[in-house]
Amino acid sequence: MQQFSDQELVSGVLRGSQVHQTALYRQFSTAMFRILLRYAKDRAEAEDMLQDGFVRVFRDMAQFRGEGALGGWIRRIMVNTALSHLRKQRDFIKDVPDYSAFESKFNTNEDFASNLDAQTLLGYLQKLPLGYRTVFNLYGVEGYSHEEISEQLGISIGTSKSQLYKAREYLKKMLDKSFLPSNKGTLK
Amino acid sequence: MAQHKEFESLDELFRKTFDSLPETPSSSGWDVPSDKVWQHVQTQIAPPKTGWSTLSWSLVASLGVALVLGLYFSLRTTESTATQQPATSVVTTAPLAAQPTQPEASVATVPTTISEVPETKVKPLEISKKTTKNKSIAAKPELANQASRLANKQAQESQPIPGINPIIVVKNSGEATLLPGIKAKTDDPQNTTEKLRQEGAVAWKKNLTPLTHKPIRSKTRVTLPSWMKK
Repeated sequence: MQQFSDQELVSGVLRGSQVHQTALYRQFSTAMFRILLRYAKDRAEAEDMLQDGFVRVFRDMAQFRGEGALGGWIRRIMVNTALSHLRKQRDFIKDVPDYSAFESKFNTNEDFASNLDAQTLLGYLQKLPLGYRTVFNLYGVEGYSHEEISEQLGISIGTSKSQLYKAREYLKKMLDKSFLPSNKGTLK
Repeated sequence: MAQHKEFESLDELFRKTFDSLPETPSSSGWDVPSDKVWQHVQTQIAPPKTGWSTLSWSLVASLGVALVLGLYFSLRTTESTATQQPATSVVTTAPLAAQPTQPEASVATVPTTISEVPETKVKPLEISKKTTKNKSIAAKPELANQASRLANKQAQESQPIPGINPIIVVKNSGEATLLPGIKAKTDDPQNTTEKLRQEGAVAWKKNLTPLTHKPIRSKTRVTLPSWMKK
């Protein structure tokens, strides 16, 4: 596959070149799909987000001013697309009423010490409640502040903090039970 | 192994794990979207068809042709009426002065026979009936003689009523004859055509008055067809 620079991709897409459109998609689709998999509950939802995100990218390409990397600009669009998808869901930012039911899902005997990779962690993330998963992704992985998250999701800063706290607690319990019985790592 | 990683927090564990992924897709394919995603994106980002379709072009072309043809025929009919109108006006204004020879000939042959009596005095319905009768009678000579005798008898018995036009009997030859005892009026023709003919015979001998100037109206007067006036 032919490699293009960011500037070449942008100018080619703006000209309507299908070669550049395809190249841009091939270049960024995998990375963006990995991000969206963290926000989505499953692969199908992530693909829907990816499709809408790339449509936005091609449609709004003229707004890219070249001040940063093209990948960073596309990534912001993908995260915003994922958030707009999640906002449409009814149980967005909602406490889990039955903690024991949620916990029992992850009480497995698998050897996570040998299988802990991105795909495994992604599986944990995808099984989190929607609000927890979203806030944890935005704060812990993407690096957003609670103020930014509250603006993005339309919630209060306190709600964002509590959602993050509960998400960490759930993840710790899952990892403690499955991955950290030997106490080789320390989670704070 | 992830088990031996030194990580300070849960957030860092996830962040480092996801950020350290290689650019190339994994061999298992878990991070590769299906091909239908790109196909859907392509269909959505395809430029809209701004050009007119073939159907719309053909509709516009046919409409244009119909408009041109309609305009052509409407102008053509307007021109024909405009050229015919002055000719009729000439005839009505001075028909007799323009053609003096024709009335002269008609005046010269003053009607002397019954056959030249103006047609307006003939009752068409009776003529046609009698014509058919005469035809059937002419086929049989005995019946024809009988009919002529009966007609003479009726004519002798009946007296002419003053003020009533004479009844004309048309023979097989097409000539009209007056019934016996009835005089034809030839000096004062009631027919307008005959009047005009007689006036024309004299009028051409008079001095012509000069024509007054009238502004010439344009021949090509455009009149819109009825469907365009609506």
